Amino acid sequence: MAVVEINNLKKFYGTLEAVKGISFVIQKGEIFGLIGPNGAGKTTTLRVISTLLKPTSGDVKVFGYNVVTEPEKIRRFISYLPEDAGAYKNLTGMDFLTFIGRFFANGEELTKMVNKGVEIANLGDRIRDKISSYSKGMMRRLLVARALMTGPRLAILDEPTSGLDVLNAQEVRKIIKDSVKSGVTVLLSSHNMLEVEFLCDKIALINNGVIVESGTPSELMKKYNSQNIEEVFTEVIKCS
Amino acid sequence: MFLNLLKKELKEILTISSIVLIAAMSLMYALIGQSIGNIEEEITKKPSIGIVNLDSGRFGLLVTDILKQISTVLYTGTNIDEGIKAVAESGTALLTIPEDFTEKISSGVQTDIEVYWMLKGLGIMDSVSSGVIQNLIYYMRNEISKTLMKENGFEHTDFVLNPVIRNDVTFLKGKELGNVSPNQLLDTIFPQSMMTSVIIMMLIMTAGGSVISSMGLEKENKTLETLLTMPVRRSEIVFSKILAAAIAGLIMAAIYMVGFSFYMGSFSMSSGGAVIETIKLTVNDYFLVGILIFTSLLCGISISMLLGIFSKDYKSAQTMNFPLIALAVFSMLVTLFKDFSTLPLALKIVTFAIPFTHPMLAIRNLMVQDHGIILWSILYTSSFAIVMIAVVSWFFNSDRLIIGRVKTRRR
Repeated sequence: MAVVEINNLKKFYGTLEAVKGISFVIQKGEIFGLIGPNGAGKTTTLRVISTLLKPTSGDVKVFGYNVVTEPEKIRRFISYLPEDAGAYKNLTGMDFLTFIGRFFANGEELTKMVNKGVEIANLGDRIRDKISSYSKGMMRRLLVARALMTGPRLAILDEPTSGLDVLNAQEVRKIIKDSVKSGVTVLLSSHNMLEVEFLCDKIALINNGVIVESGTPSELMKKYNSQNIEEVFTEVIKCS
Repeated sequence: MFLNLLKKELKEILTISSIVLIAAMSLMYALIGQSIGNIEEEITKKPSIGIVNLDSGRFGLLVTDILKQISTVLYTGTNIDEGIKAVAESGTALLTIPEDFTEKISSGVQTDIEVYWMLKGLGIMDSVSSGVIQNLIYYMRNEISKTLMKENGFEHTDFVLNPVIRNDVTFLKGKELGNVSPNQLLDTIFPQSMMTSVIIMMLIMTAGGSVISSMGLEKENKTLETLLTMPVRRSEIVFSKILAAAIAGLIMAAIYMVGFSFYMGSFSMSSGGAVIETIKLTVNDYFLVGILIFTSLLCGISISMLLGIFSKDYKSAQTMNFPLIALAVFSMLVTLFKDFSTLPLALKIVTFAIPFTHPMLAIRNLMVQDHGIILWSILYTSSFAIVMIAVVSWFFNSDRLIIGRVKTRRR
């Protein structure tokens, strides 16, 4: 069974058609990248899959559950990291991870989960400081840890390395790559083509609400006779 | 999971700074109450006066003796300037008995007493002492009348001065209240009604403000999307916010009311025992008032939450509470000056529709044993709260919370 099945998804914001009938499938254990320019419909698509928005039309299933009729079942298996996500600033990093963990586990299992979060965040003693004192990079690491510590079957990451410096971004990419080994399927969006090339098993290029190309990075580079995904992206967007 | 959410919300709302702020306000009210003293104590306290007696006749001496018995005399003499100086600091008035006082009274000519008032200010408490002096003069006048009557052969002077005793029976909404005048009734009801109105106002300001701010913070900190993808029902998120705001509101209102009760205590007067017995509330009555306050609070919080949904961030959320406070002020002002039953129909409908009106009227209705209207009020406010919570839950399940307002789709 596919992890995500999207068939002719359309999403209107009033009169604006943000997503114009896209379809794709994500298989278990894949890192699937949704890439495209600003305003292409990436975040809208991710929000629909993570049950935050309802589709205007089309069929969206996650682990076989419909996002419109069975959103609560889907939320048990997914973890969504929005691009500009934040955390409760009055809590410490540790308290925040514990707060999130309590939705998924309790007792010893909760302790293990929080310890895993602390390890992923890798903030040292600062994990016990108030989140309000964290830098942007520290905050993002905490949020990535929050998203992955619960052992989701599907992690939906919107620009996971957004705002991070090179070292932090590299560390987060490694964390994402490692999480797949433990059975997590990842759907991510990114502007960073190098990141996409490094991380993704499969990518879909979205432009103006339409998926204009999809395949593995190597397939696409071959098809467009390009050296890297950035060139593929430029070519595809130019032609679409 | 609900407890997890509730704990988080309470931690967010009940911060040390918010409690310190409300405690400081409470302390401020208590200090004001302590500094202005008690109106009843002021009235029963012996007034401090000065007496300038320029009359050596018997009525001059009689008046001086009476005044000495019922007041604290700071000056007795014949010099007005010295008298004014003596009472200026701590006295209330200087009474001057003219030279021809006895002569005029004895010959049946009306005379006068000059009163130099030492007014310390224009506040309510500053004018209380002048009322006490007026009572003093009234008592003194009666004593002179009694003396004159005795000299003219009247035996029952008290009877002659007061041949008719007033016996009050007040009818209120068809209920007969024996030995109670409308003024006594209002003196008893007003402080309690006022207190209920202030409690409601405080609850709406604190609890409503908390929930709106909580929504504003969720948006500003970008935590709402994360929260909405947690494996918890949206209705639980809504209810945890409402319950946390209600708990925090009740705690803050309780802290506030401790100070405010000291403040109000300065203006309270004990009414006659008969009044209290006639309209005394029972434990059950207070229980009903409590339920009504709670259901109205739920209405206020759910309206606040709805307004919070439309806020963009914490700053914009802060101003969202004003319409709600305005509604509560409207209810308070209308019910303070007019009884609900005597309002024009249109105003009656508007006032009734505002859920905060109901607890404000509850004390009065219960004092006249009108339990029926209280039950209707509980039913109305409960239904209002349920509908509002359902509307809020609907918004939480819609796209509106994430994407904000969008233009309607043209077909």
